[in-house]
Amino acid sequence: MSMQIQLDGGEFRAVTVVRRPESSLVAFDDNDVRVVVSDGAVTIDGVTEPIWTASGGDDVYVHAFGRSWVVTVVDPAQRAAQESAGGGNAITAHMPGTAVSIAVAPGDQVNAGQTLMVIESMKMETPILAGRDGVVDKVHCAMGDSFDRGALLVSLIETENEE
Amino acid sequence: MTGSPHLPDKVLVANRGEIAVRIITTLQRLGIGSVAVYHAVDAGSRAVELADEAVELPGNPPVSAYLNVEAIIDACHRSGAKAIHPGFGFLSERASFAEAVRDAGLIFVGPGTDAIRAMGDKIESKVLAARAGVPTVPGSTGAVDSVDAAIAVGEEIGYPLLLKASAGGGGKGMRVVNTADECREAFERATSEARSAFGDGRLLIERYIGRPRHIEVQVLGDHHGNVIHLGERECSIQRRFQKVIEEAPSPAVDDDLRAEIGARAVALAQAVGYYSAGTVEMILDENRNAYFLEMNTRLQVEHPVTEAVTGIDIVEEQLKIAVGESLSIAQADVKIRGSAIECRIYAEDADAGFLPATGRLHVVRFPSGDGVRVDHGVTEGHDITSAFDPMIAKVITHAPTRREAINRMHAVLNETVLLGTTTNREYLARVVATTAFGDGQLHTGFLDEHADELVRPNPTRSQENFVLAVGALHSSRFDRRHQLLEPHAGMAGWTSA
Repeated sequence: MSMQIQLDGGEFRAVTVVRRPESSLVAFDDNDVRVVVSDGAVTIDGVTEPIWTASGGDDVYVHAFGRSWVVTVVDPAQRAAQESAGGGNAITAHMPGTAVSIAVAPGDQVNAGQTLMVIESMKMETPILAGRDGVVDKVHCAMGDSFDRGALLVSLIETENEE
Repeated sequence: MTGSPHLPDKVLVANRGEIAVRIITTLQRLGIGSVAVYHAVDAGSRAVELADEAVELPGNPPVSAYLNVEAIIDACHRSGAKAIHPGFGFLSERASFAEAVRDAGLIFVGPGTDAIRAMGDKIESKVLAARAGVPTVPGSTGAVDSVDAAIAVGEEIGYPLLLKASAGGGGKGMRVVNTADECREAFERATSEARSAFGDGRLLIERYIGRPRHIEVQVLGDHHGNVIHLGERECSIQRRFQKVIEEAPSPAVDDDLRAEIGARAVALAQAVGYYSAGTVEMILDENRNAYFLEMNTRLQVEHPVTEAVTGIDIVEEQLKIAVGESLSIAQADVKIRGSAIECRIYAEDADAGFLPATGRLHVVRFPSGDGVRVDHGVTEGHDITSAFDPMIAKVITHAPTRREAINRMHAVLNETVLLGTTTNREYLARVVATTAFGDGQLHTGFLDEHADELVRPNPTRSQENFVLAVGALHSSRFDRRHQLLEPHAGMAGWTSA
C-alpha cells in the first residue's frame, strides 16, 4: 500500500512500508531505509537514536536529534477526494486550534459557504465553512474545546448520488 | 507581634499552572494544607491534582475565573483556608484584592496595600525611588498628555526616547523613537494601545538606553522594618519586551556593584514600608550605571534562579513574613553560590515571529537530576489553548560555574520532550549555545542582534530520512493488522516509543 509522506510541511512523496520481525523496510523516493526499532531507540544505517513519538490522525510527532518534527502521512486517494470536492460529509480542522463559537446544531439545514463554527488558531479567528448544501449530522466539539489538525469538527448527513 | 506566630494550617492558592504547583510544593513540604482554585478547563491540571482540596470557579472566558475576587474569597471561607497566596499575574498586584482579602479576615501572602498601590503606579514609584536615592533614567517627571509636550521632552533630554504606558507592563504600549517626527507618529498609537490594554492611556517618556541589561534585585522585608536583598538576577534575554532566559548572578555584576544596587533596592523597599518578597527592576547601561525601572510587589516568574544560588525558599519566607515572623536571615548570611539559569518554554513558533501555538501535549518528558529543576503545570493530554499565557514550563539549571550551568541547560533542553504543539525549546537551546551568550555579552536587544545565528538550522539529509522512516513506521495510516512490530503499548490511540 502506498501513502504520501511529508516532513514539517514540506513536499509530499510516495512512501511504502514493509514490516518484518527483525527489521522493517521503509521506501520513499529512491531511498530504501532499513529500520530496527528496539526499546525506545531506532537504528537506521548503523545510526542509533533514542526517539519519542506520538501518532494519531495524519500526524506523527517525533522527537529525535534534540529536535521536534511533524511527519504527516496521508492516503493519496482520500487527499485527492478532500481537495477536489470540499463537499464531503466530514469537515475537518486544517490546523490545530480552539473552537470559539459554534453556529450550528444537529438537524440544521446549511448552505454551501455558510459558517459552521469559528476556530481560533495562532491567535487568529478562522470561520469553518460548509463545503456543500446539506443537513448537520453532528457537531464534534464544544465551545472552548481544543483539537489537532485533521480532527473532525462537523459532519453532514450522507446524501446519495451527489451531482 | 509577640510570642511565636504560627503558619496558617491551610492556604489557598489563587493562581493556576506552574506557579500554583510551585507554591503547593512548598506548602506540602511545610505540612500546610493546600487549596487550589480552578476553572473547568483546568480540571485535570497538575495543580488541581496536587492540591489537598480544589474549588471550581465559574467564569467565561476562563481567565475571568482567576480574577473573580468574590468567588476566590468565598472559596477560601468555604474551604477553611486562613490565607491566600496570589502567585504572580492575575490578582497578585491588585491592591483592591489584597485589601478585600484582609477585610475578609484572611491573610494576604504579599506586601501591604499601600506598597502595592505606590509601586503599581509608574509615576508615583519613580518619585518615591528618586526620594529614596535610586536614580531613574532621565525623562518626563510625570505623564505626558500631548504630542507637543512629548516633543518638548525630546528637546530637553535628547533622542532616542522610549514611550511607555504609565499603568502598564509587559511591553504593551512601548515604542522607541529616534526623531521628533517618529515621536509625533508613535505617540497616538502608544496612547491608544495603553488605553485598550490598561484602561489608562497616560504615557511616560524617558531616554532610551542602547544595549541595556535588565538587572533586578530580589528583596525580602518583614513587618518589623527589616529588609534584606538576595542579590540580583539578569533578565536581558527578552523577546517583544518579555523575558525568556534569566540568570543569577549577572555576569556583569561584581561584589561591589551587587552591594551598591542591593543597598539601593533595600532603601526603596524601606521607604515604602515594604514587607514580603519584592523585586526592584533596573536597567544597567554600558558603563554599569543602574537606573530604576519599577518595583514588582509579588513573587517573580524567575525567582527560582535566586532560590538556586542562595538556597532560600522565597515562598516559605513569604509565608513566615505574612504571619508576622521576623526575618530569620541576616544580610551577611546571604551567600551567592554558583550560577543558575532559567529558560521559559513557551508554546510558540520562534521561527515565525514567536506566534503563540496551540495544541494537545501528547508526550511530556522532563529530565531530572542534580542541578536541574523544572517548574511546570502540564500533564500528557493537556490542551494548550489561547485562553491563558502560553508558558508551558520553566527549566532551571544550577552549577558551580556559569559555563557548567549553560552546558547543563543545553543538555536538558535537548532531552526535554514536548510533542503535540510547537514550542520554543529548540530556539532556547540555540540561544544558550551562542558564543555571545556564553561570554555573557547580554543586552535586551540580544535576540534581535543575533537573529541570523538563531535561525533553525536545516537538518541533514540523513536526519530527514531517519525521521521520515520513523514517522512512516509509526503512522496509523498503514494497516497494522499484520504488524509484527508493536514495540509499545498505546495510550488512548497514541503510542510512545
